[in-house]
Amino acid sequence: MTDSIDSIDQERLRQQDHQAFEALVSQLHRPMVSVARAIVGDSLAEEVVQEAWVSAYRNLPKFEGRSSVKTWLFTIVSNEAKSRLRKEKRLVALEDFNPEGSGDYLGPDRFYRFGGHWKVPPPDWHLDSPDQLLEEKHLQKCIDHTVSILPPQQRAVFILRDIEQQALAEICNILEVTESYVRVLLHRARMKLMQVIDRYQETGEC
Amino acid sequence: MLNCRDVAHEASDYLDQNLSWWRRLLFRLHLFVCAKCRKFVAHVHITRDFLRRRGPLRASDQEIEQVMQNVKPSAPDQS
Repeated sequence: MTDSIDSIDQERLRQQDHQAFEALVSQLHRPMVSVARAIVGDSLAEEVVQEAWVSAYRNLPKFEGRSSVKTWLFTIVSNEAKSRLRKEKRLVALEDFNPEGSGDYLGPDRFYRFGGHWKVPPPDWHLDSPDQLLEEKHLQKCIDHTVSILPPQQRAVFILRDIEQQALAEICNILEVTESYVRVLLHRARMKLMQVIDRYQETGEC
Repeated sequence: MLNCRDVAHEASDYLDQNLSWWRRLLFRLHLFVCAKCRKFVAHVHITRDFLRRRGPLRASDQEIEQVMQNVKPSAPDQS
């Protein structure tokens, strides 16, 4: 297991220690790109994140630790992205305001129209614990690929909540969306990933 | 009473404890009588825990280097 964010010494970060900063970049660069993509779209995200890192680095000596480093960085990238959005006078990521459903996974074909009972019930899983799933290397690749092609807001919410364990209220602030919307996006992301696991259990393939 | 479709759509909220007490009660009543939904919710539970335990994807060496290069001009002289 590699170092977690919590193990990075905040005092060293405040002193702009390169090694500590690199550890931070290693762990949070990709989640930050996901946040930026959800706000400004693919084309500007990378640039926004680079600006956010420069801004974070400059401001490290002023970091007071009132929030976690993670939350502080997600807020910086979110503000950077929103400010870029205003400058560009564009509305990006609107596709997510009409997000795909839970894929077809929980679509109308899955339930009887009247009564709402399962028409296609959940299949049996032979790998039925997180530990067993974690041992499947090919499944990990399938999951990584599916995460990478989730719609930007779904991906950002999934990463912020399930991977980075940010509170719902923080996610709402970072992405400027309502809590109920965050919950919908999170469930949809999980359903898409669960669909991958279903298929893997059945066929051994993605 | 909730039906299976409701339960499937609210499974994450149930597991994350985001349902009201009344909705949670209805949810549990449904699970009590429906084996298919019990299986579905168990699968969501396993999926969520599996995904959480995988941890974050780290940046590549190239990505780290690019950030460090951009940061360097603003870095204090550490020599």
